[in-house]
Amino acid sequence: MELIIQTLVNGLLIGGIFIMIAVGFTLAFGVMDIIDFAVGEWVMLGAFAAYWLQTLVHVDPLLFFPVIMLTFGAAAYVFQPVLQSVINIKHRSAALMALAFTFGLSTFFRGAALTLWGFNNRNIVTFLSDQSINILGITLPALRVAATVFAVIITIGFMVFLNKTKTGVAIRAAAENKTIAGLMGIDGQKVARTVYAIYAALTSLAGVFIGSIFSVNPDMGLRYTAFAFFVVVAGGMGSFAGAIAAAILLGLIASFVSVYVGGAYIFLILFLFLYFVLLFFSKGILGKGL
Amino acid sequence: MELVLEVENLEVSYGGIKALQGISFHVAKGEIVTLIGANGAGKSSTLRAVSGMIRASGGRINFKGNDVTGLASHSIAGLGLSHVPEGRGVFTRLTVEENLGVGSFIRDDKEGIKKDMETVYELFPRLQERKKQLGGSLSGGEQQMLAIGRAIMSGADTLLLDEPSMGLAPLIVQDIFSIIKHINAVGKTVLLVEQNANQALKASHRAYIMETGRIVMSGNADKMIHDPEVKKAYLGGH
Repeated sequence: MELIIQTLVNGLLIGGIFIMIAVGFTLAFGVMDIIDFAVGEWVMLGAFAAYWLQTLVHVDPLLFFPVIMLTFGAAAYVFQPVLQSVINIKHRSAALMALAFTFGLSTFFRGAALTLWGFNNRNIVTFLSDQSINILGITLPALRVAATVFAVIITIGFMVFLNKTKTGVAIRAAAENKTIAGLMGIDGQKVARTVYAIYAALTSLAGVFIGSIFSVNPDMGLRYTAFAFFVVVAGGMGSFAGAIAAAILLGLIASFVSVYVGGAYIFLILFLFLYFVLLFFSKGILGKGL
Repeated sequence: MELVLEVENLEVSYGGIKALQGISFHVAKGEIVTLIGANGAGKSSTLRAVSGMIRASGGRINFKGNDVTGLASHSIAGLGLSHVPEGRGVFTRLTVEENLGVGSFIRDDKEGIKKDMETVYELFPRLQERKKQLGGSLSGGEQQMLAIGRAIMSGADTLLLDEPSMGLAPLIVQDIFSIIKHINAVGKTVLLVEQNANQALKASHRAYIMETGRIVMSGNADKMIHDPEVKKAYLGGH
């Protein structure tokens, strides 16, 4: 019984981190109409940023997360027009080309990281590492709790921003229809840039947490790309509530499968599950997608 | 007569096919001007080119003294032009209130926005009743009201309305036209595209008739409505 509860708690806590990735990813998908296959590499680079901050500057990377987020946000803001120009190419298969482009980008990031930093696993030590809270025999690792608390705060903040501020509502409008939003005076290009920057910042923060909880290596990104893909599709393309639900579900599935079946089967079971979701709930698990 | 919109030799092509073959027309301040014509005559393309939704392949568009040819739609909107597109373009995942809020995106004058919001709810009480509902849950007529309301919220002095009566019940069509006349009376210039030529001519000051990407006739609406040729071709011969 205790094992079940522990597994459940672990799943919920890891689901919290996935929410951080899912929210930004869903918004970027909504505004730019592409699946960014490089999402996992932002996680990897975020983790490496934390590692180098610790190794070279000797600071606790967890305390310097705003620096990491700002750096990634700024880099993405500068880079976004390049990606946008591929999406906007006047060509029948522009969407496919953009998809291939992000895939190439992901390969490039992974290859560059491998060449520069080698294949070793590295560890990030933060002030929360090795700390944990015990409640009724259930262990709550402090780092995972912090990650989830962060994810919840950020998600709520993000929702308030999207629903209550003028810019937020404009972003939602542009996500639904850029042409019409343009007629309202909303610069779709600027919205896409802003959203891409927010998405990269959130994903890099998830990378800091993931790198601290597990370990850092150049190959870690791919699995998070697959996870992000699972979350948007299972949640229903473009639906926030769906993506959040799918992120928690993903955490639970990953946790239970690795305890009761074996870590090697996570992807098999995850995508089998996705297959049935698509078969029976084509609009996502909450029925709110496109 | 102060010209708000001046279009010269406007051309638009879709993949090599010319939808507009060099049309020229103008709209003066305070007017309601209608473009009439059959499906595919190029009426909607004209509005789209003026608001920057599509790029003109030739000619010049001047809006309130600014050359807006080739400008992006969000920049043109910033000059005080609001285009209510065909199919209304209501944001289905935003509430009625949020749709109206997005309409006022380019404005900073809180007082003015609040006043216009009251005006919209006065004109369309139905929208106030449903302000927390999603745009996608509204009926066709309500969506048209919302689209026009959103244009009012933009504070624009010039409105382009594309087929506001399309798909609506006759009673609601009457409502929509009387509201168009009302907003014109309180100072907005209107360029209207309509298939319902009879109603449109009754509401308008002047009209242009379009056929296959050209303007074939123009004049005062009250004269046109009695013109035998126009009657035969566009008003159902009555």
